[in-house]
Amino acid sequence: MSKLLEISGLRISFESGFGKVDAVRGVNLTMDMGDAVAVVGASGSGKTVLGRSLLGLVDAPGVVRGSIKFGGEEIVGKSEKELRDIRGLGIGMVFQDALDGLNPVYTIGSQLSEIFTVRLGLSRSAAKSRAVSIMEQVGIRRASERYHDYPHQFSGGMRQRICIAMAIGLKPKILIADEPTTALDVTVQAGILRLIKDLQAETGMGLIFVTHDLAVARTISTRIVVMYAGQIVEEGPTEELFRFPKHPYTKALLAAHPARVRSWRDLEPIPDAFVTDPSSGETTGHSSPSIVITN
Amino acid sequence: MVLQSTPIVASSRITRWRASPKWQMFTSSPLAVASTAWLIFVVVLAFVVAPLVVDQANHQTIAMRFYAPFRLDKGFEFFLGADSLGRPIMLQLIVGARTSVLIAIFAVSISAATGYAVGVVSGYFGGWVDNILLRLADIIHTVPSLLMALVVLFILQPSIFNLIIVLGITRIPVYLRTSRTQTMEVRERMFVEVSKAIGASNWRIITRDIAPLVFPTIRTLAMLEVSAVILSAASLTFLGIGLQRPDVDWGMMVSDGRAYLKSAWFVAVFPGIVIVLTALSANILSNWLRAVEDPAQSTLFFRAKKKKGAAEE
Amino acid sequence: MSNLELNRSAPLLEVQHLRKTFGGRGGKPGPIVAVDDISFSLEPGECLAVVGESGSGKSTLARTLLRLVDADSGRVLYHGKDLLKVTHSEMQRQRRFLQMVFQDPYASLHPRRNVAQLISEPWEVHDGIVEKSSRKDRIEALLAEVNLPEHFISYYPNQMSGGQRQRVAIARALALEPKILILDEPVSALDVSVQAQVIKVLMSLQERRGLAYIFISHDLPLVRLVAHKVAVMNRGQFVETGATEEIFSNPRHEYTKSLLASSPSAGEFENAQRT
Repeated sequence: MSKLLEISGLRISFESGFGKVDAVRGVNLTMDMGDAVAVVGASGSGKTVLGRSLLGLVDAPGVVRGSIKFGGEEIVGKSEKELRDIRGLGIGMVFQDALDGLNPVYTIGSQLSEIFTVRLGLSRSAAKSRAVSIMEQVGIRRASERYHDYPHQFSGGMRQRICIAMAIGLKPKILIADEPTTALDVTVQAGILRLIKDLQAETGMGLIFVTHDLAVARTISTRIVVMYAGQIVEEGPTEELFRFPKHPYTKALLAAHPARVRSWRDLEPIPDAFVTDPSSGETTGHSSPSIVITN
Repeated sequence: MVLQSTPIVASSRITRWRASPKWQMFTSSPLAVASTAWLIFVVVLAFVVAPLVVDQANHQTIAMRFYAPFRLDKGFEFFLGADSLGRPIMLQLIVGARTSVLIAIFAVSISAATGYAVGVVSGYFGGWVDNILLRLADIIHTVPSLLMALVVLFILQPSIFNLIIVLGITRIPVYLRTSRTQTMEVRERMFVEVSKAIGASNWRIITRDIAPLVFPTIRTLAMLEVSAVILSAASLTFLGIGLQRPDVDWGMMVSDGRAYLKSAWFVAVFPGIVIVLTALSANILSNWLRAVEDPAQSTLFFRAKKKKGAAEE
Repeated sequence: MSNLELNRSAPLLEVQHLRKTFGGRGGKPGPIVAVDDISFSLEPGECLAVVGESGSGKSTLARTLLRLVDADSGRVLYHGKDLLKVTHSEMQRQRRFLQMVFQDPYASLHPRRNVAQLISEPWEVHDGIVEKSSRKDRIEALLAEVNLPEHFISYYPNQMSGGQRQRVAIARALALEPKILILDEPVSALDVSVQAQVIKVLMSLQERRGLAYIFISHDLPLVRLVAHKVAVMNRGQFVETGATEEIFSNPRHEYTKSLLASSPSAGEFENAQRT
């Protein structure tokens, strides 16, 4: 019985005239139906690239090596056409910026219906009623009226709910959520997280939730994977990881979280040397330090 | 619990950072190299060689009238033939180059500098200042520039100076608009607000914060415009407006040779070729610069990369 | 909680009935009320947190205090002078004492300037405060205060991480030796793991220099660590104010309660050590 998702030896690098960046350096991960896995890491850890590679969304100059098996089928090396069949139907994705996923010149109703007419071959009216029902499912009130509204007429949280609707509309087996709540207010974020949890419970789909915030990861996952510099440094059941973190980086993450300390003096910032930032693709400023911490 | 025994190594995952990919990109694009070579060639001819050959270029020899090209027996300067008054075409081209290049550089400089400055001010302040300046630009823009140039130059005396002024003024609106739009966008960015919070004056914000960011676009635009100005100047002089002998430029040469296309084709064709090559080179170079600065538009110059995410091994 | 001893004499800043609306024409107030009758005072060395979500008016409040946006009515008293009414040149002088750190470290630094130029900008705008010859030393001192190594002085924004950029922004805000810093979501754009660097720098600065902060944020666990007083803002109004621990252990307003409940760190994440 093959696992739902099996990633082994995944390596992703970006090669251009400027040089080569190794974004993901050898990742192994497996997942079953119903699993809720949070991939936690800082910017530049490779977590976003990892998520995108599952849908074959890593474009040139990115090069993907290794194996990603979805339901036993190898994804790496598939053509665009084959990937398109998986996207939405097999694996759905929600991105950080809701505006990315929505076309501003079409009503959200038409964008939602399009999923059903194009991918499932439904008639216009059948597609519309499915779209309305899925809007209700993600918590949009007066769905049949709001069907005719444009993206800019919705608040940020609502837009994200619509993106979630678009991602799960075709009942995929896995939902990948890439920092979907990072740009949202705290109360709105709570609603979205609850929604995702409920949807997962209802459909039994697998969830991969990418985030930089351990607190968020704790509320949504049963298993946590900690990424640093393109590799997985620790992995385990959520509660265990919080109570008994083993890897120094995990401990460092916990010690740096504002919610975990009593006084700001107890905060232990992660040293600059260990912070990677993708804005220029470089590790920060100075030359690589020779500090190596082994377990 | 799966635990990787991975050390925390903060060493760079970046390998092989190359210092100047721009040079590599340049040399890998034969179009860009060829265009630049031609332009440099023209400029050298215009400023280094032209002053040396002016007298010879204008020297009329009836005996050499319509001397055919591609022969060296009468001297190197007659390799491209001679025109209706026996003047060596090659040297005329060189002197013409100086005229054309001067006109192009000055006219573009005037319009770019004016449009840039006015556009930034207009875009920053908005309000009635903006409205007035925009209307002015619209007026200039609506009248076909060539027509306006024709009329003005017809009234004024033909001279290089007037030609430069006219071409300079009529082309201001495109710079103004571009500069203004970009300014309006940069104006909204956070570091401008920061400067205001520090207490910087409007003048300071315009000159230190906004203008430098608008400049690259204007620079690229100016390069594109160079080819347009060369063509416009050639068109005007072709029609006999704007310059009179002994000033000579390529357009005028084409005009002179028009009557003799059947008998002495070379009198018109050589300057024609040179016009096309120069305008095209300026165009190609500016497109290349734009491609380099904005990777999204680089399809013309760089070979398509391998297909997305292809697996190796 | 900082155990800073608070100076209980005259307040440093007193805001009275501040009001700002949008959408008005010709001087008349408009329909959108961003800041609705806000009053508060700020003691020297105190950190006041303004907690609210987007749309609450907190950013408008900050901008009104700095006169980046003109308020409709109200007073902002600093050393007895109403900052909203002073002349332009007087405001220039006062700007020295009231500085701001903006939210987005990726947008608040001019992309074409290096650290030295960024930090010395306030000195160039306010001539005569720092001699050109002593600027380099001052820059190095400021970099040390925000925990950035000396060689950063020639770096450009695109060579720095978010946390480092934000620390440069803080150094810049300190250049004029202000007494009050307004911090508009200073760490919200940063990864949680990076926030600690900036927070620690901010808090040690406050202790060392005796600065007063107006700390705007939507992040409750963070606010608990840094603030003495909290004002909860919703739709332009302060719906609840009080000492930090009071707000957290005994929230009274519905909105405050819902904010506390929504935080992903609510309850379960916290250490057993906490009361």
